Amino acid sequence: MLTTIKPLEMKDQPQLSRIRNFCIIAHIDHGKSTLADRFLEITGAVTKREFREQHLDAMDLERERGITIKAHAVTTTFRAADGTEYLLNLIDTPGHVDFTYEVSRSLAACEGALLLVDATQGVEAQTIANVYLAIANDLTIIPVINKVDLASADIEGVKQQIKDTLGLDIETTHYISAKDGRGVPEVLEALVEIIPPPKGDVDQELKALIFDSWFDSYQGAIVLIRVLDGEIVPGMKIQMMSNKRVFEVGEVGIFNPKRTKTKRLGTGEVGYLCAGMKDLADTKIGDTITDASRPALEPLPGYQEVRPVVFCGLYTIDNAKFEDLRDSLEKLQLNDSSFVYEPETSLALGFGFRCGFLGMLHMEIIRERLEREYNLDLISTAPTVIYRVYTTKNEVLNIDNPANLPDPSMIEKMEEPYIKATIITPERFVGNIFQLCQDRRGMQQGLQYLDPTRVMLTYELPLNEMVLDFYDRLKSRTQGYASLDYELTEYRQAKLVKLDLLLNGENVDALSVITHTDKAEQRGRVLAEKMKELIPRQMFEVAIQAAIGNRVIARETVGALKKNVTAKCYGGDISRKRKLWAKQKEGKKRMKQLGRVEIPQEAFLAILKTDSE
Amino acid sequence: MKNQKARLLERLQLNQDAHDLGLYVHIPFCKKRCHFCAFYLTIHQEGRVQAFLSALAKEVSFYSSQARCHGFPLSSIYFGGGTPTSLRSEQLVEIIRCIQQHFSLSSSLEMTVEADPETVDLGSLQVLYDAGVNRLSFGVQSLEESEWKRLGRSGAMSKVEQAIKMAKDTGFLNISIDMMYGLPGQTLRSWQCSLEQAIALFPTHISCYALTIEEGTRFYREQERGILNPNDWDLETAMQDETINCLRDAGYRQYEVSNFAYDGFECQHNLRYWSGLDFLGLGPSAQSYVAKARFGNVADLSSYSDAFDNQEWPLDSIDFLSTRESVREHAIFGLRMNQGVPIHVLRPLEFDRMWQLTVDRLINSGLLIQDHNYLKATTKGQQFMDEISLQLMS
Repeated sequence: MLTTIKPLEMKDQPQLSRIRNFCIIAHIDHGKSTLADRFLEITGAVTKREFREQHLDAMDLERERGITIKAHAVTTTFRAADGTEYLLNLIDTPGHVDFTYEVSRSLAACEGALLLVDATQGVEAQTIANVYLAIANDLTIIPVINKVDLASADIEGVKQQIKDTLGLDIETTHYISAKDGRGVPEVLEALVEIIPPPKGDVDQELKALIFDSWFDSYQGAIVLIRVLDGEIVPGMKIQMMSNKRVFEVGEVGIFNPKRTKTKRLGTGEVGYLCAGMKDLADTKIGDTITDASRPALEPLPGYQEVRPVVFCGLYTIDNAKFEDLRDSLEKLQLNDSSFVYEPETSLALGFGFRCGFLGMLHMEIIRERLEREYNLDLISTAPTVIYRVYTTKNEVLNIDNPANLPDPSMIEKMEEPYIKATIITPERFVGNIFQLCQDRRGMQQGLQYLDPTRVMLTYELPLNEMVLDFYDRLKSRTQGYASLDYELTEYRQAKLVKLDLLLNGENVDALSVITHTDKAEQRGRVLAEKMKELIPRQMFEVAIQAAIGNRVIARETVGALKKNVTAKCYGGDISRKRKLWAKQKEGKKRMKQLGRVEIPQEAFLAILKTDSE
Repeated sequence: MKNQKARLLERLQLNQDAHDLGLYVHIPFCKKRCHFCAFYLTIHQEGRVQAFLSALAKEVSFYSSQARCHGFPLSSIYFGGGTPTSLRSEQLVEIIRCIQQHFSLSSSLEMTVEADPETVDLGSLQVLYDAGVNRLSFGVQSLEESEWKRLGRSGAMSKVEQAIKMAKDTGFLNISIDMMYGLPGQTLRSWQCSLEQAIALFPTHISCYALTIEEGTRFYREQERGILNPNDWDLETAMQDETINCLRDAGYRQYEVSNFAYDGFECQHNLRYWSGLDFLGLGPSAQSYVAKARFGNVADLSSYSDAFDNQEWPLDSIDFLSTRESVREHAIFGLRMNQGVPIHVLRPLEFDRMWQLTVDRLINSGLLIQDHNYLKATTKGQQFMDEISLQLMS
């Protein structure tokens, strides 16, 4: 029987030497949450009875997708074999490519990291990217190979990959099964032995790093911090170093894993603070908190303003729900400052919002949360990146909406953002990936064998080729085996045009996309064909045209419905018909009326697909 | 459901706003199931008939004791199915006698029996005629031999002409025949032939239905397996146009989407369905609309029969309509009739903004038209009745 730990009401600052701050770097499904659960169980932070599987992934959506979107931090105590009791802070990191900056700030709050690799899968692209981030942050890394109990485990091969690909010392590698708990206590022992305690000076000016925050309807922002120097106590005046705003600390504490108040957060510690902050600008990830009466001279390094890179328009199918969408976006943004939105109007769709996201997954998550948690039926326009447009009048415009692209005669040149993508795949799919990246205007930068069967490819790709369905295609062409990581690199000049879609001669602005000249025709053809499939027959003919400027490049026609009448309609038919119509009425609610043409929601999803696969 | 039934019973016990009633009797027996038929029926077995007849008698008695149902004499009685004439004519007469004992009948009562040409003879027709049946509706569907066979019908097509002649000889004046287009293998030409032959039989009434392939039918299964091609809309539209023209030239007036008659021979019972008037359905699977409630019997012969033995009410659906809903439905189904819906009926929807906007939009699209004091469908509108209905429902 496990026991809960005593509430950490420490009167004194625990000795720095007894604190360990660490995180777990792992690919999706490699067992991070399971391992974290075992830690909490072994250290007694959670009793078996109150155990909710996978404690760190709080949101349902995270649970379902098996990824951690928001970082969390859990504090627990561990009595090592030598009899010393240690304070462990496990800082969870967001597990997706779109959140690289957030990951880097979480890592900056740690001294060490466990590199968790699935013995049956091997090292994946994101793992590599995050290990590099950890190395850049000077973290001590302990390799841990998970799922060694499975028959398909290739322990030696994975160990070799860790050595060859990541250049890590594999002397300290641990072999575990997070599922049944074998090897896990030994990892805890190693952790306190190998990962260094935090450095820092309690007498120095306060420096605390913000690595996560969310909103509580009563207390305003709850901010997760790591104290590097000095200490924070309730009642003290603190200052945000990015915008110089001052707040009074109301409460500090830790999650063990329940939220628990403490008297202070001292040097080297990890916990939360509430200071009545209502504005997202005051809780920026990576910002430094200091003592307002004795401010630090320099903020902590590494702070960046987070800028969205992918944009789309979001509209409710039912225009009357516009205000609901606004309210929902407002509420969502409170807990996710990384996405932005502002009102926009589309001729086709009415009132909506242009929203900016950190990446494609981020966009999907927000959209799904809006639909699920706020019960909205949404239409999104095609995702787009920010294009730099140099006009003939020597202006530079940042265009995040195809509708705002100036007339071609006004454009001197255009630039688009590029990324460096790292893809790891079983060797047998390399050909498929070559093909995919070539289709997407990619340029190969490197090809490296991680072991005889797995290859790491690096590519330079235009971001606009990736925001559509690159990830889905990559997965489908590699039977789900490939993993991907990317980073933004630079803007490059490109020949780009706006591709419009017209229905019965009217431009549907919400379906316009900016695309490379060489691909415009094919894209237009596919789009027109897809629309033909998706737009149901109406009482009149619907002409579908794809056009670049005045030049029509593809044309399709949806023939008119000839008739639509139930021939026989007596007593029993009436009963059946009214039930059927009631059902169809619900279906109609998911159609959008564009002029006279009714378009199903799926038609708007079609622009997210690039080819006819 | 229990509460719903109590609520419905309460309504039926009041005679407030009572209207005259049309009675539908579902005879759930056929010799054989046709390939297009989705109605509830069982294959005729004499052993099953007695239980049905005794349950039906109890149902007649039950409703006749409700104040709402016996305030007025019955305006119409309609025997449908299944095949009513799969029963012996004496059995049908037994039902008629039972109804006569419990309900008063209007002097202008229309009493229809649906008949299969295969299952009638001079003797049985005479029995029905004598019992007060004054309208026969023959299921014919097609007068082309190959199409007839493809429908899975029993009997020979040659019987059709004979049956109609016998009916006339017996003294039946009002005879209707049902025809179908859009059948497998049917061409525009063969449909024209069928129509011409039907007209040559001089019925007073002709119904022409486009084949609808419904779940549970053999045609549906064939379509699923790819043996049967789905409807060819262009061809069906052409057949529909041909029907309207051909029957008009022969003196039949279209009075509803699928119904044509010599003036004065419109089916009074069926008109009730589209005019928002009350009708009571008896027998398994039969549907009713009384006192702004739509309710229906369970579609299972033994559950239906057993219910009455156990003092139960074999309903499996009850829907209470608000005034607006009932007016809305009256309008939706009323627009199926060529004359349309009298404007005054729509008064309760006068301040329903959505309704008005939808009606205006449909008028502007050329699907509806306001003509004197009626709202009605245009010729184009008649082809899009389901779409119009759907829009008016929302």
